[in-house]
Formats: sequence, C-alpha cells, structure tokens
Amino acid sequence: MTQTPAGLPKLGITLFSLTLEMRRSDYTLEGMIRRVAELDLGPGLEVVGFQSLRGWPNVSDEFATGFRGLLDECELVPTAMSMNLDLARRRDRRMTEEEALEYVERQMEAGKKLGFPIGKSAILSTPGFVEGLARIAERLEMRFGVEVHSPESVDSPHVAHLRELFDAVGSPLLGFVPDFSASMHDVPPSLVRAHRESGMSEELIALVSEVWHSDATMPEKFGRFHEEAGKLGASPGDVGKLNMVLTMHGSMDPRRWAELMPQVVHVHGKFYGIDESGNEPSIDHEAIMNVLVESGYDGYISSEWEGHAYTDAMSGYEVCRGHHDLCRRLLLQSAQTAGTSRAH
Amino acid sequence: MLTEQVIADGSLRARGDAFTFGLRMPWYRALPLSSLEGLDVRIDDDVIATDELRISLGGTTYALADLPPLHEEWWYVADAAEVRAPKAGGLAPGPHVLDVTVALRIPYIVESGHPLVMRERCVKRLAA
Repeated sequence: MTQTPAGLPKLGITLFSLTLEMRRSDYTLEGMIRRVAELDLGPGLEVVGFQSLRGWPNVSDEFATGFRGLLDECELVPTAMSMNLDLARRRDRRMTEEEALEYVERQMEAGKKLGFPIGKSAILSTPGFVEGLARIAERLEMRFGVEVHSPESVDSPHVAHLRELFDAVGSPLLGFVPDFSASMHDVPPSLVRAHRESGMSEELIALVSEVWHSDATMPEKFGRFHEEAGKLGASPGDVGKLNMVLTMHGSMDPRRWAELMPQVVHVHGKFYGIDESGNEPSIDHEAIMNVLVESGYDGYISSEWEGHAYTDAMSGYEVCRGHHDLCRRLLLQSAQTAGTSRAH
Repeated sequence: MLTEQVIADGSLRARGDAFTFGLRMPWYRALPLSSLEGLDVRIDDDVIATDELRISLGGTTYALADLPPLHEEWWYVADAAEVRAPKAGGLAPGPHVLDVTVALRIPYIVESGHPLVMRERCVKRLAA
C-alpha cells in the first residue's frame, strides 16, 4: 500500500463505494477486499457493518480471525466501523435510550473484535446517551464519531447541540466525522447526466440547479422547488429524486470545516465523480485538503463514492482510484505550500 | 440503481396455480424483516391480493402480516427473497410484464419520530 508522508492525512476507502459491485452474483467480501488492495485503494479500510457483514453485529471468533488475517495479508488497516442506530426497527414504538445504548454497544464490541479503532453512527442527542456512549468508548478503548453529512453542517443546530453535549462529557474519545457532501459548490454533473438520460426535462434539471444555488434557507428552497416543479408538470417520482439533490448536497464553505477539526476522529471523502482532468467537479478538494493539512489531522480519509445511487455507468473501484490520485496530489501540494509558508 | 434490481433478472417462474420471482432489496444494507412494510405485485395488469403473497427468506416463508413483530430477524442485502403469488390457471409460458412496488422502512432515518419509508417500483418484462 502506498502511504502518504508521515504527519499528513492517510488515505483509504469505505466499501460503501462498492455498493453496486457487492450485488453481483460473483461477489465475495474476501474478493472485494483483495481487489481493493490490488488497486492500492488503502491502506485504510472502512466497512458498513450492516452492509458487508452477514449477521452483523454477531461476529464469530472464526470470522474475526479470518478477517484480521486477510487485512494483514493485504496490508490494509481497519479504520472506522460504520454502524447504524435503528431507532425505528420496531413497528410499535421507538427505541428507549437504554436500548439505543445497548444497540450501539453491541456494534462497538463487534467492531473492536474485528480490529476497528473507531465506530461511527448517528446518536440520540440526549445527555444520558452521550454519557453512556463515552463510557462504552472508554471501556473498549475506541473512539466514536458522529457524521456531519448534508443537510447538516458545522452551523446546524443539531451539530451545535452535539458539541455542547460532548463538551459537557469532556471525553476526548467522542468527536465528528466530516462528510464532504456538506460542502459542495455545485450539483454533481454525473447526477445531472443520469437524470437527463432517465428522461427528466431540461427545465426541471435547470430549476433544481438554480434553486440549489440560490441564497435561501432549506425550507425556502424546498418550498420554491415544489411550487415551480408543480408548474412544470413534474411527476412525483422526479420530484422525489430531485428533492434528494437539495437534501444530500450541502453548500457550506469548505473552509468552515476548520472549526470542527479539533474534534474530528475520521473523515468521509464523499465524492460523485472525477472529471477528465482528474478533479471532482462539485466539491473543492483543494480547499478541503488545505484545511485538513493545516489542522494537523493525520487520521484517515475514506474515499466514499455515492454516485452509485443514480448511475451504474462507472466502476466504483476505478472512480475511487481516481479519487485517491486526486487526494494524494492535493495533500502533497498542500503540505509543500504549508512547509514553504512556514519557512518564510 | 438498486430500484432496477428489485425484480431479479430472469427469476420469473410458473409454479402450478402460482408464480414466483426473486425480490431484491432496494437499499444498501441489511434491514430487519419489520422494515418490509408493503409489497404490491401486478402481472400483466392483474393485481395480486397482498395478503395472498408469500415471502421466503432463509428457508422460512412469511405472509406480509407476519413481518411487523420480526425486528430481530434480518434480510441480508445480498439475498434475494422468493415471492410466491397465486395465479388462477397458472402462468402461460412466454413473456409477462411484472410490476412490483416495495415499501421499505428505513429504521435509522427518523424525522420527528417517524421513519423514512421508501416506495420503489420496478417493472420488467420477463419470460416465465
């Protein structure tokens, strides 16, 4: 595995990028991990427990031994275990705080057994839950991160509330996982292309792009989009797909991540495509890599391709290869600039 | 993209006075069986009564009404469920239009106490 120089962020992948690849009839987890290693998409490996691991969070000793051995053999390093808090798994009621803690604890234990030093999941934003979570993290000697994903941003009330709760508990083990989806400057061209090919009208695509770029609050954007899409005669299915554009792509200035960096435990390098010049056309990776380098963050960035939600025209492996090349180039450039400015 | 896989390609089979097909999950991760909130099946514009559908997973067969309490049982994302639907007189050999809508509760995306419910429709022309 190619490493980034010491002191810089490290690269990796989440197998979530390979969501379509895992649905093929010849899929095996082992084969996928070996392919990731062959393509030098590590050294960091993140998995979604409920996606990649049958029976999660039940992990047998035999499976854990095999999994750890395979990663060692492939020179891959387990980074974050992506978990879920299924608050509504019961039809009759939501989970209690105690049940939610147990649910997360079982997954943290399973992640630990597989060698992961970090768990990530959404949480209940109550003092009792956060205190319990800190105890679990301390007992297991793991860190825990809450993802900051669009439509959330460093400014959202939910994130501000979590920061207060984390401060109150004072555990260095609890923190955040920035997801680049919160800090985009355009609607992904790959998504526009896919919607156009699916037969959506140009007017509707132009409308969602214009509303996305407008300077308005999220509820105002939804309101305007619905009203004008209705006038264009958009089908409920198309409106639903385009709602996702407003929800899943945030427009925060990427430099704002700097405020969160002291509490960042892991990073989701969300992206939607790599263009012919090797850049991500909708996310300013240069600005983000500068923030990461300047903060001194030396944890992992998991390349997380989510274009599979609307296109199967690309290979998840290949597009992640392109993302690694982009991140590596920008990290080295940023380190060089930082070094030069320090020398003067 | 996963919506287009809801009906597994080539999975339609005539079975006496019924037919079966493979149902794949239009979501990226395993979900509890309690998450399968709805299933609507039409074949050649003939609507199959939902309470007559049977869903087999991991060697167990369920009616949709059996699923709500099964929040400890899992539908793994790589596994196709087999759906069996009654069809008086059986399914003639040859092509048919199968139209399936699945409603999936996403148990971790909860807004104001209410989980997101995805409704995904897949229509395919398949040979029995």
